Amino acid sequence: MFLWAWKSLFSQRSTLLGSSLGIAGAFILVLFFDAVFRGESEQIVAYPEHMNPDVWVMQAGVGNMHMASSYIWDWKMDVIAAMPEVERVTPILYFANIVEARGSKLFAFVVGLPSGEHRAGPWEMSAGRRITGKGEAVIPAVLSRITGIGIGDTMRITDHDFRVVGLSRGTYSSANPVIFVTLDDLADILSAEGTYSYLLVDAKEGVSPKQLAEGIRRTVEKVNVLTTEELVANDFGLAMQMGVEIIFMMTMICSALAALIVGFSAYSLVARKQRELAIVKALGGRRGALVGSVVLQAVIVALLGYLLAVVFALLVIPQVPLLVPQLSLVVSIGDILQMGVVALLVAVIGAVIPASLVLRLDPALAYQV
Amino acid sequence: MFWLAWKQLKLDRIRTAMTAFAVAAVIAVILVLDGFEQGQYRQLERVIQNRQADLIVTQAGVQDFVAARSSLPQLTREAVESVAGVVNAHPMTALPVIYKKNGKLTPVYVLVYDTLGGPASLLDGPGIRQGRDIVIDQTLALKYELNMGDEFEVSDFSFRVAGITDEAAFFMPFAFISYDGMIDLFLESEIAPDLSTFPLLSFLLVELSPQADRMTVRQHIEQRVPEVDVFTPAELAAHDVDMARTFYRPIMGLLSSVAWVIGLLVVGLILYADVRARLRSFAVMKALGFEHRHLVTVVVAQSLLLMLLALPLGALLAWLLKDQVENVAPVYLISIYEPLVVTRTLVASLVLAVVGALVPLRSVRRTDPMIAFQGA
Amino acid sequence: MNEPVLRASHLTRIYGSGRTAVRAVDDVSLTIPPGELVIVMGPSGSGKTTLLSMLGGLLRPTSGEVVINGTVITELDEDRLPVVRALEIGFIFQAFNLLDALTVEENILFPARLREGGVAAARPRAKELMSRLGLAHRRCALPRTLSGGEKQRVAIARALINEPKLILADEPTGNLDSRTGQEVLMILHDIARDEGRAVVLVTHDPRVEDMADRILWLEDGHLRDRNEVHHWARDPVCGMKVDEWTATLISEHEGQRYFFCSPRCKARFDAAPGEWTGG
Repeated sequence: MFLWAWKSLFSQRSTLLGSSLGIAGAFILVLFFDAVFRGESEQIVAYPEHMNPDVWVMQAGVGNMHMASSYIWDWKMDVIAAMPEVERVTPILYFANIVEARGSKLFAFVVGLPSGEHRAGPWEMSAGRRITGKGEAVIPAVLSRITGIGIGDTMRITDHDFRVVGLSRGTYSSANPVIFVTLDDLADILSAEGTYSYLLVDAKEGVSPKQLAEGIRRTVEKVNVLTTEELVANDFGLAMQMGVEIIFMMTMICSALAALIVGFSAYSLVARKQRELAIVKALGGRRGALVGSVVLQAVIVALLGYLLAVVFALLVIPQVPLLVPQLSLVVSIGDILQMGVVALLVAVIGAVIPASLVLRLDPALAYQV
Repeated sequence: MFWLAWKQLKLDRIRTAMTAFAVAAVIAVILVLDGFEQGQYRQLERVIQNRQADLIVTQAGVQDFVAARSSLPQLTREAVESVAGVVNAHPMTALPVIYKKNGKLTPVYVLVYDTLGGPASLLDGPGIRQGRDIVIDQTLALKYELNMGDEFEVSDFSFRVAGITDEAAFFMPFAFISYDGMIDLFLESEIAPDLSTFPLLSFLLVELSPQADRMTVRQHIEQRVPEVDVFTPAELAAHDVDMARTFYRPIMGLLSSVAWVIGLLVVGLILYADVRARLRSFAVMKALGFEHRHLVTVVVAQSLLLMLLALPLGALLAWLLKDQVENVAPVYLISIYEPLVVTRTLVASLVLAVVGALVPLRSVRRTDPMIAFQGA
Repeated sequence: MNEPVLRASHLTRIYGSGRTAVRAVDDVSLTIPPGELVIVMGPSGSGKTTLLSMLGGLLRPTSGEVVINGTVITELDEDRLPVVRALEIGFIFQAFNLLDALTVEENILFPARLREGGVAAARPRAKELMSRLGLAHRRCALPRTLSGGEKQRVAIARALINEPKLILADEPTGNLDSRTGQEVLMILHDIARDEGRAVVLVTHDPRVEDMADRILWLEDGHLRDRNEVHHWARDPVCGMKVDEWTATLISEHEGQRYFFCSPRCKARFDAAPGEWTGG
């Protein structure tokens, strides 16, 4: 019976392929959504991840960089810098705001760096140079590609104009392109003289990030101290959480669509082969075997669609950002495996109607012409 | 030939129903995606319109309301109010915070208001009556199971939930507190030493006298107070929507195109499978003297009829989904009833139906009428 | 003599090419006047359906021509052929080929959309056909509720709705029991005789022979006129009567042809011919 199921399925290759493609499409849509949110979320933490100091010091009550604002007095930096465990402290000012480049408005992370400071600046340049003085900005190379703004051009952050002097790599995402300006400029914009937003603290050799964090917490009041790992986890969690519901919704609707396609193709197959199935019934074929064969067909169609989606996800999705540089897409194996479970569920749900048709089939059909 | 197509659809109702549902699901996907994007824009517009100002004053150079940091000097209020035609300049401060409870983080856009600009509607609770009161968006109430009178902690400072509203935009639920609440927060919470860095005034919501001309007053304010910009709520909303478009368009564009391709695949597949199953009928029609164009008409008619069945179903499915999503995650608004969305989906569906019908046409063209001679 | 309804000359159809070429129909000529019922018989695979398809304009011959009511249909292009099929020819198939979604009446009227006046003009004719063929009470029934005989009667009515001069029937009794088959044949016979239509009936049902005006025998692509008298031979192995015209199992031994009822008899004969010929 299962051999029959297999063979009759593959005797209609174009239909099988079409159904599988439809199902693959539905799964691809979900994987795309996953990839968009994961990619954005990973890109959101690109800055803290690449800076990777041993610990981050920020305003008490603040545990994030993404969508957060943090202010601490500048003298706290001096206190920390004087600690024996500390190798180096780099202060940054930071705010997330709308910037204007060539008429396009974008939501951006603006990082203010002490002049000439490289520790907290862009980690890879693709053109131009780093900022050295007031009125200068380094923007993501992708931003330059999208908006057409190039080195020497002017961009606007609130009411301040900046001249682009360099393009950085790996700093773009839709949610937070990272733009570097001088600390003084940003302090001007924020009216925040005498304060910093975050301190990137590197420990002396032999001091672990945890020990350093403990030390700072003991020494400085009303600050929050996190290791890079903790800060990144917080930001990543925050970003992913914002997409959870929408991903769930898309998974539901696309799975429903996939189940309908599975149902449709299994039903078509049963309808087309109902004479053969009636003959099997007339010959004494058991209900279990008949239903099993329908479920098997549904499972094959769904899994084939799933495999096509996975191949597509692994081969094509990573290439999309080459064409659409605005997008950061990351395919996760976890999401793919989860989708496999969904595919099996989809197959079983899709098989319900065709299976009931098989059960209702009149064996006398075998005698009809 | 519509008649024949209709009869054929009616013959196998289960199959037709499944087909219609599958196509409806495709339509729902397209509708919801489109509605999701439009909903984001609508929310951005709404949160500005809900402030009920005639004009909105921002820091010079700041042209947005949500996701922009605006900081006005305290004295601007007086300066703005001194302009002829201005009845009142109500202060408003925007305070983005990240709310954390039970390990779950949510960025919240807290609006501090005084005499105008508070929550536009209350789903529950009396609203703000004293300093510690906070009105939160239903998203927060749902996500954190917060009820009236519950504590709502921001930076170690406890507010008390005094109302539930429905305002959210840009993935962020909104919350409302009074200036008393803000001062208490700044003074009593851990962040007190760094108070000076907090914006104490972000926007002024300008109320004009009935006779005043908006554009004239606006010009006068900008002349009198050079450190500010003045916008109508609609302009400010348009700026926010603009910003959101640069953010959403690439992502939504990509997702919609994927949805489109899938839609086409599904409709094409369904029609193809259907035509394959009915090849004999087509062969017989050919043998009986029907021409290719007749057969094409049957296929296209069937496709259009299926689409007509699927459209209301799709709209229903989309509505159910919208309802479900907005219940589970009220931070999203899915605007599927906008004329733009509806028209686009209608046109898209008809294009899908016709293009989808082209997929099986090759099979139909190549159908050999001699099939009619073969045994059943 | 009447102008023939159908004239086919030197029809040949070759499938494949080179060494694998098969001449399914080989230089067949045929003329049928109005009112004649011609039966084409022959073993399976002899090319009967190929011949019928060419006569009906469903298949182009490799060479030769087909003239229906004075129109050389083999010269018509694909755009003009359907009209001839719709108005000049009525097809009846072994598998009935009714459209499942349509009722009896709708099926019968279906080809009428292609003629002048359309369905409305053909309605009285459909009514008349239904009452003549005993289908009046099944007018609104769907094909799946009909018996085989009823289905074939609907198919016949459909073939007649546009009043074609030529009816081509392919094994119309193949899926019917003998009584129903007989009924269907009688109808076809009446159609030829009473309405003056030319009917070509392909079958290998030996019961129909008595009804035919002419019986043609198609074998290996060649068409022969078959005499009405049988040429009986006796199977040398089992002693059964075998018709020399229709027999397909033949062996030659010492210049004499022997006919067999079954491959089994032929194999036994071939193993030791002398044993059966007394030689």
